[in-house]
Amino acid sequence: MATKKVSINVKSVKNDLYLVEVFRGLMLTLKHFMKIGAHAAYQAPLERRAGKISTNKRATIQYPEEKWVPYEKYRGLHRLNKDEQDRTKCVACEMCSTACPADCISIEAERSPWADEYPNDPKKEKHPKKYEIDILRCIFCGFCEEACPCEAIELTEIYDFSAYSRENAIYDKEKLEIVYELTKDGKYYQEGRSLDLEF
Amino acid sequence: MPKIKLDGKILEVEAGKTILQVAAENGKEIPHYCYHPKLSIAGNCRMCLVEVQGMPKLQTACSTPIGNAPPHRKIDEEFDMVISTKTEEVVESQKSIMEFLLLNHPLDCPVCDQAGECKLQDYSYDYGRGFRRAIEDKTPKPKKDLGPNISLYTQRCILCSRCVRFCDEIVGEHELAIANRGHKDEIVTYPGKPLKNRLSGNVADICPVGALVTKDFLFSARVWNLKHTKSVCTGCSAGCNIEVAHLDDKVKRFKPRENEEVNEVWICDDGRFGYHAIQEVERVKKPRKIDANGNQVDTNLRDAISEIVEKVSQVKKVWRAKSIGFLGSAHASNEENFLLNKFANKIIGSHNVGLRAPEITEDEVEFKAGFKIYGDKTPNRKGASQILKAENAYQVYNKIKHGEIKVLFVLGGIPEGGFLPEEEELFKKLDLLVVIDYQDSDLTKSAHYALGGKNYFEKQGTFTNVQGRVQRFSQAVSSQGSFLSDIEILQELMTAFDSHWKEMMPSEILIQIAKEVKEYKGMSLFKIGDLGMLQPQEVLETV
Repeated sequence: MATKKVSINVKSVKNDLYLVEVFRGLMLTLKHFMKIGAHAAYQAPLERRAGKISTNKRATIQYPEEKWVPYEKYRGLHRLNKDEQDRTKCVACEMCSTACPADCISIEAERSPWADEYPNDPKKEKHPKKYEIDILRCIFCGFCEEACPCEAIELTEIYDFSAYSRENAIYDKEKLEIVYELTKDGKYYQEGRSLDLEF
Repeated sequence: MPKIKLDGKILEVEAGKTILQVAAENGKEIPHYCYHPKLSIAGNCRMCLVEVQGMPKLQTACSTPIGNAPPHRKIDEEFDMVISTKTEEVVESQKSIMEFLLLNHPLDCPVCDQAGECKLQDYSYDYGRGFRRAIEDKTPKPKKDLGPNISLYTQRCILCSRCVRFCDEIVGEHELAIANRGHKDEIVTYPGKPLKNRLSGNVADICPVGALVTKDFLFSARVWNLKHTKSVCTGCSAGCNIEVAHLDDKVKRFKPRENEEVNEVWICDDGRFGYHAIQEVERVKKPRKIDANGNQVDTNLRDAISEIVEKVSQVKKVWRAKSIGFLGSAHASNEENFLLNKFANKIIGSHNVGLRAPEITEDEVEFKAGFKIYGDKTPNRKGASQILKAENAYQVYNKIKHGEIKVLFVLGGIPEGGFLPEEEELFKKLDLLVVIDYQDSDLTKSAHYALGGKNYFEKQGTFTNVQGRVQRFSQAVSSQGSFLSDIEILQELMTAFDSHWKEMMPSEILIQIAKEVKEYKGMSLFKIGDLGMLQPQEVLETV
């Protein structure tokens, strides 16, 4: 693509006064202010997922009574997935902690309690004894999700998580599995769920 | 000397060397699995195939020796051999061999302990095809227990037979074999005869893939996270060179470090798994004393030392310096023993110095290839006796028995901890017992003052092995016990007795040892280096 050359006559009365541009800006604001029927771009998924057309067409969301539903690939709080037998999918390979640029994941592995059921499958033999994510350090880049060979760690749509102490901002295996239970159907905000963890 | 051309490079090499050795010496990597410099040549992995001009097929570099060609057979009338390692044929063969090796390999790298130091991973990147063409299922093979220390993930095995040859040639026990044929063949032990020789841990080291693993290290860390510190094994007086692998201030495993003069590339299982005995013990975290009521209470080093000084001066006034005894340790470094000796001779003026070490109860074991496990389970008996000029502690014990010694300073460090035989009764006669030991044992519990210390992962120093080789060990982890090391505690004590004492670093102490003890003449940490320094033989002979 060739570069398009645009010449701007800087020394013009129109440019000097800015008046035209100011009014044009104000008109845009007024248009949005008056606009009824057109949706703000980020509100559309809410309606689409909820399966109804909202009567509220304002761009403003009345948080926290009303919650914004993030788009599908939003990178929020982590979860640790489980398999069909309700066992953690994680094999403690430490790919996520190796990929993590913020160095916020710490894992300790051990022999899994169900290892004897699968003598031919080393992948079932190992599981995390400790799996901790320091959410305060996390930059939500999603590298862990990308590095995971077992689709065990995933970033969910949850954005409203906070803690009163630094200890509570460390998400261990139990907490991450609770997050999985809450988000596995992908309807965390639609169903009006909230994280019922000790903060 | 044959003149050869290796990938266009003209070399003159010794006849009889193999192509692989010559290539390695000239910085050219030829991939290989079954070849190991310390084992016989098997030539079964076929990974090292190279093209030799004039030979009809590709040749295994590990087993093809370089020799002189008769004049009429010389290539270009000048070269005895022309070898190429990068031709199209070689590259294609390497890709095919990798494909064969990976045909039944489970590719469970995420859970495999070898990942990160796996030759199969490395060569897949460098020489592999990068994708799988076979659509057939892989043959599942179980995980097997080969012995008390070693597990075998049968499916990961590429049958290089290094472990089989190790047990045949280095250990001489012939415990492993390859059974069955075709895709069913696998490493087995004989019925009722598990792999339990005292060098069995080495098979996990020489295994190029993750098939043989030590149960001890299994799942405990990913190898790329480990940090390595060069050190010396304290399991016996051989002083095998090791690398201490540690993570988050915890020692995770020992790996042998190559030193042709000491341990070649092996270590025994006693040493390999011996770190538990040092790491997982109760520690003296704070200086402690026994108060007037006979209870053990925490104190601080400054108070403890000032009280010791006071008590020792009282005893010294009445009974003179000869009533004060000192016991060095065969588990303490040369530097610590040297300081204790200085403390006794220079500062207190006593010559009651003994060497405290457990009795030698075991016989020396020699394996087929010459690797030795010594009966003397102390790392530094030789060095300590040279520095303390005492072979044992009997002289000091006798004097305690006869009431001549009232005060005793003891350097600890013995991994089993506690009293040596006879000591428990004997030490009750003392007016004052001061123990510098990292481990909380009945010895430190009964000591009037237990001042703490660091274990040998947490400090640095030198040991002298049974050959008279002085080898250094470095600090691997930060202290889980007391704040000060044995050397620092000793120097605090010395400064309290004599304010003119100039505190020294371990490296400075070694220089001082080199000045004063003739066996250590000219030594320094720098000169000792990673591989140690042998004490001058003429000095040893006259001693």
